[in-house]
This record gives sequence, structure tokens and C-alpha cells, in this order.
Amino acid sequence: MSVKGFNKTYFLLVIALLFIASASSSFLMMNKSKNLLSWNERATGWALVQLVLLEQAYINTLLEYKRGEDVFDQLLIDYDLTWSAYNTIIEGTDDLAYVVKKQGLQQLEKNFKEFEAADPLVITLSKEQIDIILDNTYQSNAYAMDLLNYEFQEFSKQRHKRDFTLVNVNKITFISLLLLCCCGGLFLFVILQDRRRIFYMAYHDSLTKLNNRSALKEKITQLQCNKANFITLLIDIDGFKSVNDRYGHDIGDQLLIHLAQEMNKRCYSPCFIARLGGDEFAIISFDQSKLISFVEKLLSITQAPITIQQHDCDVGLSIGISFSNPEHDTWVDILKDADSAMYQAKLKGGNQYQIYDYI
Amino acid sequence: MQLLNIIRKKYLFLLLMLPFYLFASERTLLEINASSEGINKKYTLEALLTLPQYDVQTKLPWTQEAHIYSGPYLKDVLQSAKVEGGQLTLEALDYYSVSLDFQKIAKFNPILALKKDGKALTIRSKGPIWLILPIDDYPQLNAAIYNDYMVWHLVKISVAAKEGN
Repeated sequence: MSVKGFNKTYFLLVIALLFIASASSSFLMMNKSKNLLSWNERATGWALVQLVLLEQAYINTLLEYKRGEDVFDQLLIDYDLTWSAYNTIIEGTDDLAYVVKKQGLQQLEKNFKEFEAADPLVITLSKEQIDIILDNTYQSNAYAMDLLNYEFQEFSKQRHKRDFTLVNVNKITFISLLLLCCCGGLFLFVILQDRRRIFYMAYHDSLTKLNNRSALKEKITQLQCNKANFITLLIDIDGFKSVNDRYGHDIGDQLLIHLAQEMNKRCYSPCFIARLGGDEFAIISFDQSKLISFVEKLLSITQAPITIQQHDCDVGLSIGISFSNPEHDTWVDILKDADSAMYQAKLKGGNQYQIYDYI
Repeated sequence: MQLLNIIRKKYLFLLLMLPFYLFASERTLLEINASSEGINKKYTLEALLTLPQYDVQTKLPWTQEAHIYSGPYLKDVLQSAKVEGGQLTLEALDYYSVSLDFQKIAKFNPILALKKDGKALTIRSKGPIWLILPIDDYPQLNAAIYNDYMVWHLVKISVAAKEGN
């Protein structure tokens, strides 16, 4: 593995770990945020307000009763409502112990016992008794007010604490999501880059960087579909095998690269040049009028021996030419014609061109 | 002497309250008001008991354990008053009141509980009517907003016309 490849693997591993970490963190933070937001607000505060209000209503009705007004039924209702409000707090909401301090609850229970003992249905409501009940109820009402203040202060504190936590959770979520997006973006970039590279490799020859056989096939097929007029030049290097045998494959490869570059230089713009494999090249050309001058330019490449790393390589080019024809069904048919012409050129001694004779 | 006094007082009270107890079922428990449609219907306990009764077994935030609450569906009561559930304002004997869109809770089939574990609800047990949502059957009901809708000591339902009507 190359150093670059090694580094890239490490880089991707770090990005993958960062991606997993930021995804987990985002998920955890969002879950925490959801839990904090769905925090069940406590009804105890309201229950205490109810107790204070109802106890005060009971005191008022008791005072009216003491004055001799006919409010006994209302007194019973107010007593029962206050009884129910006490019961709600003492039997409790789920989070009662969490809201009301423990000693507060004990005092409330004591007050409730006193209140229960003064049931107007059970005791005789003499004036003295009413005064005692009033005195006790005033005291318990004042205590409920104290508790109410405490409750709302605590509630407010917890709310602030929750809001503060929420802000922090949101900050972490934001950073995690940002990191997640960056890692995702990087992954996407690497994948797209690799895809581009793979696509390039699929259609290009790795040695000469020219188009490869697959690219040529697609090009000719596309032209045949469009019913375009074009010329196919099939080029074979004469004496390439002996260069390979004599100087080695590295020199052979250098020679192929050199020839590819030279052919590329001589191609005019709408030309399409490809290496079919080995020492075979193909060129798609469209301008028939310039064909002969173009072919001569190509043949001029090998007029003199080519020097590769101080080795003189005496090679030639045999070029077979075929024209697009409606009788050609597939891309191979036109290549076959060019190949046949190229073979003719080789038979004639090589380093020349031959146009396929359709007659 | 004190005990005698108490007993005497109790009997006297019972004697005084006898007609009230005898005709208790004729006492109005619930009032449904839809002023825009000119509807003002009053329900006695008897009237509410003539509607189909349903049981809801659930634990509530204000109780230590699950109980069986029974009573008619709120939608049946509204239908019997010939009102369509729009924006409801529920008012209680203890001055509590809450407004809600009936459609928000209709799918949970809330009941107007008249009994708890087979015993008639009294003011002390958060009656005579308690709007109960089946929290144990629908976990999403375990939220503060739905707690606010479970009105106890319910005495009046005001129905406002639906928006756009």
C-alpha cells in the first residue's frame, strides 16, 4: 500500500469514527432535549392554589354562617371542596414529594387532620366552636400560602435549571450536527472522487492515458446510431515486438507513450483516438478531405528512428482505413474492414496506409 | 352529653336533608350550554345513568393506584344535548375551568365518570362528575396538557361554535 493510500485509509477511518461519534452525540442530545421538553409540569402548584382559594371560600361561608345566614348547604359544599383539595395534595400527584418539602407535607397532613376533625356534619357548630375552627383554618390557610410561595420559587428554580440545560443540550446538538454534516460531506466528496476516478479508469488506457477499447466501442456505437459519416483508422506498429525483445518492456512502454503523444499532437479537434491494446491504436476521423494529409502526418512520426533512453527504435506504422457504411451492423464490422486494410498495408511492407476496398 | 348532642345534631340534619336525598337524582348535576345554538340542557344523575355506561380502568396522577371509573362517553352526552363537540369550556364547582378543542380528546373516548370502583362519586372523591381519560391505554395522554383536561367536580360544559361556522 502506498504512503498516500495508507494516509487516506487512516483519514477515512478518523472521519468514520467522527461520523459515528457525532451521529451518536446528536441522537443522544436530541433524545435528552425531547425528554426535557416533554417534562410533565407539575399540577401541585395549581392544587395548592386551589386549596388556598377553597379554604378562603370555606372561611367566608363559615363567617356568614356565624352571622346567622342560611348557608349551611353551601358550608357543606365548601367544606367538601376544601377536603378534596387537601386530599389531592396529600394523596398526591406523582411528583408531589419532589415538589413539596417533606416537613411541609407532614404539617399539611397535621392541618388536614384538624380540618377533618371539624367536619360540620359531625360536630356541633356552636359560636365558640366556630371561632376555634376559624382560628385553625386561618392558620392552616396561612401555612398553605407559605407553601405555595415555596412551591412556585422551587418551580421557578427548576425551570431555570431546565432551560439552562436545554440551551447547553442545543449547543452540543448544533455542534454535533455540524460535525455530522462535515463528515457526511467529506464522505460524499471521497465517494464522488473515487467514482470519477473509477469512471476514468473504465474508459482510459492506464499506460498512454488515451481512450480504451470500451470507450471506442461506445463512440462507434453512438456514431452508428446517429447514422454519422466517419472514418476509422486502425494503426499497428511495425517492429514493436523486436523493440520489446531487444530493449525490454519498459522501453516498449515508453515507445507506446511517445507514439500516443505524437499521434495525439497530430489529431485535429473532432478526432477520437484510442488504444485497442498491445501495439494497436484506432482513430475516428470525420473530415474526408483532410484524410490523406492527416495520414501522411501520422506516417511522418516514424520516418526517422525514435530515440527512447538512448535506444534507437526503428518502428513503422501500418494504417488501415475504412469508411462508415450502412451495411455495418456493429462496431466490430467497421473495425474488421480497417483491420483487413491494415493487414494489406503490412503485406505491402508496412509503414504505409491502405484504404479498405469495398468493391 | 357531647355525644348525645352530636347524635341529635346528626339526626336533625338527616331529617332536614331527607327530601334532598330522596330527590337527589332530580338535582341538576351537569349543565350543557351552547348559547349560539340556543341550547341549555340540564342533566340529573338519573338522566346521565340512562346513557350507555362505560368502564375505564386507569391510574391517574392524583391516585396511588388504578381504579375503575364508570360513566357515559362525553361524546354521547354532547350528542344527547344535540351539540357537536367544538370548543368546549369545562367548568368545575371549585372555580376551575379549562377550554379545549373536543377533537383533541374525542379519539380517546373520554368518559364523564359518575362512579369510582362501583361507588358513586361525591365531592370528596372528586365528583359528582369527573372527566376521565384512559391514560393507561394511551401513553401519550401522560402529559400536563391532558391532566388539565381531566376536570373534577365538573358542573358545566359550554360549547362554542366551531371556527368557520
